[in-house]
Amino acid sequence: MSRAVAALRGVGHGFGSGPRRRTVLRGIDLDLRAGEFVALTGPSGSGKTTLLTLLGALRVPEAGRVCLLGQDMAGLDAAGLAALRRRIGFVFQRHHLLRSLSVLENVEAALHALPGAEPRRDRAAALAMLEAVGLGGRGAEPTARLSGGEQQRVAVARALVRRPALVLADEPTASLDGGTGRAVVALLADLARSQGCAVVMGTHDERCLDLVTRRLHMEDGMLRQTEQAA
Amino acid sequence: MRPALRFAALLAFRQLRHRALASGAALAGVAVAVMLMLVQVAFRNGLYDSALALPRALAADIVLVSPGYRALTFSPPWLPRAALRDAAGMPGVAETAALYAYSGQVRSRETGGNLSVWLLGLDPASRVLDLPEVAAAQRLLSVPDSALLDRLSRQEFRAVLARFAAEGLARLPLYTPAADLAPVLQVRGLFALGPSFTIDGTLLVSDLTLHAALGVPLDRVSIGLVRLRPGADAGLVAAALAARVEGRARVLTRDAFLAEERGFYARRTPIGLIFNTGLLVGVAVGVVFILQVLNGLVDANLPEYAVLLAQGYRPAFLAAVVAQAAVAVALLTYPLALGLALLVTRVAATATRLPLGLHGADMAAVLALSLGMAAAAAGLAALRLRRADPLELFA
Repeated sequence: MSRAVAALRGVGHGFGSGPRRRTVLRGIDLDLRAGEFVALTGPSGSGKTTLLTLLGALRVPEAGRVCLLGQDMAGLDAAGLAALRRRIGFVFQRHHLLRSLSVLENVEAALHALPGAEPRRDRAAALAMLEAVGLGGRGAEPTARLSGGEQQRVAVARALVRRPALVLADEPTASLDGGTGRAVVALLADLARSQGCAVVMGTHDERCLDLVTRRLHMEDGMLRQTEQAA
Repeated sequence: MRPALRFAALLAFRQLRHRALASGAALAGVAVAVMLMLVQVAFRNGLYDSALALPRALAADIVLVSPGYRALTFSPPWLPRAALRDAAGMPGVAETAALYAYSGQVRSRETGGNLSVWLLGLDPASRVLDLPEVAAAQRLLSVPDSALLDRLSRQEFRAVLARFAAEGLARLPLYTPAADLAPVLQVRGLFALGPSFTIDGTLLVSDLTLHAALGVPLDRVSIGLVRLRPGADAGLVAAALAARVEGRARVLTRDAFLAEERGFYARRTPIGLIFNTGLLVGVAVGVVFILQVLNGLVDANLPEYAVLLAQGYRPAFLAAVVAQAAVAVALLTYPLALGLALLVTRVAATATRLPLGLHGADMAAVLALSLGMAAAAAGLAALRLRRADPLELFA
């Protein structure tokens, strides 16, 4: 059996207080294992984003327990959460690449924050990852010269170059046309499978759902449906 | 250097370069603010150097001044010549001399107007000023109504200097309220001292000419000069002399005298305060412009900074990026500011004939101030970094 990447038990979260209090997650139980590619679907406001931010160690839950990459998030301070995030890759709806840096430098940037970073080794890893996403030989180019799909592929390379245990992708196809979006998700799925990491992808894009191994559907802050892909 | 810090430096420099056009006006503002600071320092130096030109030229190891003396400007309060005679008999004293300093006016033949001058009277046989041209020509002052003119006097004296150059002599009527009796000085030689902020030009005359022209009593000395025998200790002689002339004169060693002259302008007149205030205004303006550059940088990159935080970079890393950008702004704009300041200073020095200039220490001090500006602006801009929030990146 593959190793556990995340375990959530009775997780609840909300925003505001008093009459303006809004509960967005209720009693979430979830186990993620290495190698899984999970689609997180559901209507807007169902709690997908909040669940992703909890899995990304960007916030701690108000109720319940989150055990992430073998570490209980309870009691972690900002430095502890930042250290945890260094083992997680992120792909956002927009690529948010650093425009003043080259393609290669953007991918390398993900490695400089890691303990024991070593420039020569990092460069080799970044070049290999660019090769893997089909952008080998374009590392020296400014990011502005790339198409939207290529820029999102750089974002995928940036997320995976650290060989994270978990990758969180939030609507990674939303800014791309259908074919390009599907290609990016397929690339993410392939690379994640080859690295053995878990991927959770928040999405509204039905066209990519055949690429995932499991589908989680959320409504009103609860996981309504867990579907194992065929 | 750790990879993260090296990356912070790279990112700061690249982002600055990327926004060079967008930040052009603010960067120019930083350069102008630093230039103004440098020019303020150059003008302050000009004030001090011009005010200290005569005190520095005095041929004295010890100086006697009136108890009410504050600085060597215009007509300082006098001390009795008897105090100087007392000094002459002190052990260790080689010789003494007197300087008479009075402000006056001369008539300009060219404009018909009056020019303010400093009239310095001395005994032509005594060594009073350590200026080579004065030493060579001061015997000419033995002839009544003779004068030596400071060749570095303001441009208003250009015509007088031209006449002297052409004829070897220039007549210069002294202005007195009783115009009929106004003596006419004959400029017979030149020397180099330089104008100050308050005086247009300086004329050197004999003590007797000064007495005849302005009725100055020769037993009232403006500055008493004491030169010591070789090996004599200036501090000890000054202390003994102070006890001898107590109540009639104040006794200062040369170093103490020069320090007091400089201190007068720095602390007891509003002039030093004005220049220092100007310097502080330059610092404040510089901080505002650097902050504008940094805020533009932060605002343009907030989502990218948020991604870095999501990747596990700490907020301190972003603060380091902003701080290094601030330092880069200070260092990159400084050469332009210095070049402009040297140009402005040269033009102003030519026009005013004041010894405006910047020393290496001044340049280093203003560079340090610029880096201080950068640190202050970086501190303020770092507050804006709080808006970089990875949670905002989610759809």
